[in-house]
Amino acid sequence: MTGSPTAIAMAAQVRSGQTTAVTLCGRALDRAEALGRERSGFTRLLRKRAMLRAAAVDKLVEAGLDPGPLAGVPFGVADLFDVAGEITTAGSRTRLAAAFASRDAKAIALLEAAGAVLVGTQNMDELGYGFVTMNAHYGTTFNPHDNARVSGGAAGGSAVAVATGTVPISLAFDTNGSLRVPAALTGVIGLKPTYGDLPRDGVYPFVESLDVVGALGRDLDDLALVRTVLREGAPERSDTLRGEIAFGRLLSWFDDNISEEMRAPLDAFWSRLGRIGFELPHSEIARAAASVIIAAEGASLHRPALEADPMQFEPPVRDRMLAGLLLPSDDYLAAQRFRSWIQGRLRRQFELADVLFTPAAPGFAPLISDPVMTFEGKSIPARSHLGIYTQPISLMGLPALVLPLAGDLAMPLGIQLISAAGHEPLLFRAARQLIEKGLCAVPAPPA
Amino acid sequence: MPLTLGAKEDAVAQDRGQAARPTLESVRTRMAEAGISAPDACTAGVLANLIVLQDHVATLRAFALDPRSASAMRFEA
Repeated sequence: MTGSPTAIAMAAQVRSGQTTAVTLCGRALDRAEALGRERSGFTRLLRKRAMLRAAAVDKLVEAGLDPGPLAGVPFGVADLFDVAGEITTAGSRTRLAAAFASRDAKAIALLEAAGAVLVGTQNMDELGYGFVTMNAHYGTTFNPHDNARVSGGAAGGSAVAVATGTVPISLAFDTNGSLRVPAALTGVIGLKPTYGDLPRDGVYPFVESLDVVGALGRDLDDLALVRTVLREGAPERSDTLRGEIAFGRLLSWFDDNISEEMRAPLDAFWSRLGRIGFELPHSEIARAAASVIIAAEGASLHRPALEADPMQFEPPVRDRMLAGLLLPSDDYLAAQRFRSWIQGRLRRQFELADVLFTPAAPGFAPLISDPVMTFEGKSIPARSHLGIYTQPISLMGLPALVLPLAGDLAMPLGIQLISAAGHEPLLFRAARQLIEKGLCAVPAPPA
Repeated sequence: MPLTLGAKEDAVAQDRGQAARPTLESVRTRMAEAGISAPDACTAGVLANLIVLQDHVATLRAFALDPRSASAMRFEA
């Protein structure tokens, strides 16, 4: 929604007294309520807490103090971030009897210390295990560009909350494409940082060796600011590159199974960037290794709930988890070993190109009534396969930024930019260049 | 047709490292051995997912990475 103000613009208005945090947060909450659960992406609104905090931000402004660079900016979080006094459901009813969180997740605390105001929690696939945000317990989140289509997942609610202009930023997670896939399908910007770069404290885990905290937004500078706040002044690992950025498209695995609607816009985008292509050997093995790691770690984490009552889980998640419990440890260790090996090999790939790109998802969002996609000529469930281009990158631990392709498209299509580990400033610079060239733009959903 | 000694050795070599496909019965047994008591209605879904995982494992094993060439315990990017 390009007409909605950015987080930076909102904060500037609050700090200058042109508007108040109470006004901005009240507006976000009202909009979420008016849209309803399926269309806003929110599962739980925290009106009382939000309005108290917003009032506190306004008091600081009235007193001539600076509430911070995100003063009064409303934001949401996927429902696996701890919120003090609330149950962290992780999108699962297996968590309904869990203890109330005693404190906010660190990422929430850091954004609020910078003046932002948490207004609610957002829908996701159960436990983060899916790419569609069709949740048997908390409902399906609709794609704002076509309510008959999925929003992508696992963090679909967080992407939709941003795409509809309800909030300018959402915090989410990415295990295997959890925020990149919905960013692509709903036409927003998604940041999946380098593994370990942003704080995971107080975020319910799924696969500890892949999970990262990330963010979704409509504006690149908003996301850069959120990242700066969450890193608490940690020094950048590097962005020594100056001058022209060398882009390269990843082929082979990342060129197979692309849908008809993605092919022509992607080729046009590539042509504008010089048509330089690279192979990323062993991507298929990387995807296999990621799948094995997820199955084994996810199942191990949820073993107590599976032992207690497997029927509490929605069937697709339950069956995947139970299968994960039966994996031999040797296979899990082989997957981890491959992960270490390919990370070492990948460092050399970035001697040839600064920023690599791939589609973030194969094409348009699948229909809710028939959530399938085509893979190797067969129709297969989108729930478990929409992340075919994001999964290998997760295994490698690399940072990625998803941007919507510009153009007159029937539905959003997303590009995944990838850099070497720790080179997020370079990714942001590349993304800015693509937006300035008119190659990428955030589309507005229909009114 | 009886196998010659050499052909039998080849057959054994081909089978080596190739996992047998799980079946509904083997899934029931393995779940019981793992201490999981799930209704029989789950078994077909678990089997389907286990076959997918087995394909991923086969892809991994085909690569034959020397176990000493990389650590399985390093988690930074």
